[in-house]
Amino acid sequence: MTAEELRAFERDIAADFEAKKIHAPVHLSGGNEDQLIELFKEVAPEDWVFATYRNHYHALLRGIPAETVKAEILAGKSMFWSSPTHRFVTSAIVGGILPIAAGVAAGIKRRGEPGQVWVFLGDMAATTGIFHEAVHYADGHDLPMRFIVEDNGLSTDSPTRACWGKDILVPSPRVWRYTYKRVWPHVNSGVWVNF
Amino acid sequence: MTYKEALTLAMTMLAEDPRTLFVGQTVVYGGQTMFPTLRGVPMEKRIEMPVAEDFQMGFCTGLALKGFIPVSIYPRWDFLILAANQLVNHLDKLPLMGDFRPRVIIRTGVGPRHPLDAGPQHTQDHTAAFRRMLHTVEVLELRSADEVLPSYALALACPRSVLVVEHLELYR
Repeated sequence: MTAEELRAFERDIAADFEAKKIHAPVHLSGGNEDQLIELFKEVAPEDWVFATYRNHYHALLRGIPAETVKAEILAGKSMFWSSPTHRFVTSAIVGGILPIAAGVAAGIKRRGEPGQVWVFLGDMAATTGIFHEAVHYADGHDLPMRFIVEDNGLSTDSPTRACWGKDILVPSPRVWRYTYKRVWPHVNSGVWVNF
Repeated sequence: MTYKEALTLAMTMLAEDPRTLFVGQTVVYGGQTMFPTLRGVPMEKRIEMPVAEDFQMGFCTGLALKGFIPVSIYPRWDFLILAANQLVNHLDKLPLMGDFRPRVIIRTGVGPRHPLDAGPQHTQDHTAAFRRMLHTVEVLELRSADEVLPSYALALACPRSVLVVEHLELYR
């Protein structure tokens, strides 16, 4: 998908939300189209993709048909849907995907199978204890996985660096970080909808 | 047959299934009450974990997504509650959120009060509370030696994850 196609998908979801077609929170992606398009060029069909509650772009770039992604969002699963067929897993709990991804990577390695695990997480998730545990374990056991920190500087609306008083990122060749400026609010479209 | 002998047989039975792995702290190196019951488990099926309880539960969920049936060992309830996020929010909820059906057998125990009382942080029993919190994970409690083998056989055959609660006082 192109950057404009990604942006159009989210505009469509926002319109559906504002039309009261989605009876659940939605977390819209935006501002990181170019970075993700570039990253997903390296994601192979046999790989696994783990993403956060903000996962629409990741699903689309994983190759999941747009109508499938939209159906899940319309069903109220914007922030926690998964697909075994596409090896795609998300969680609405910050950092929740991290040890699960490590387990999948360990399973791939144990079976000697091809493929690796891509884990996308936010900048606040990258400061949590579970992230440090997952990265250290992956490094120590040479697991086939990469962590991509999607740094918009915010956790919901709290500035991550101000909360900690410093910038935190565990050093590891498995951890990559890109920065971007959020386009949509943390949740929903920014338009009050009276359900 | 004693409770401990039945547990040893049950673990050996589980180990015979090619899908199982035994994951936890002191499963390879010993040092906790449940360790001797793994006597019949081959070393290549054991994964020694750091002290990272929530990570361990998520790690086992991930192994389960790859088709393994991990036996995730927490020697006491007091330690297992540190994995509550991955147990309650993830392993238990994944079947409600999509088509994944991870199968993990969680093994824990209620610490003994006799002849030594291990105190308030090593003797808690949270079984009733977690029965209320878990919607897809089955909870089994082993109150006698007779219940051990049938319960673990049931856990292995169950299409869902199963939490098995042992009573360490019965190990004597």
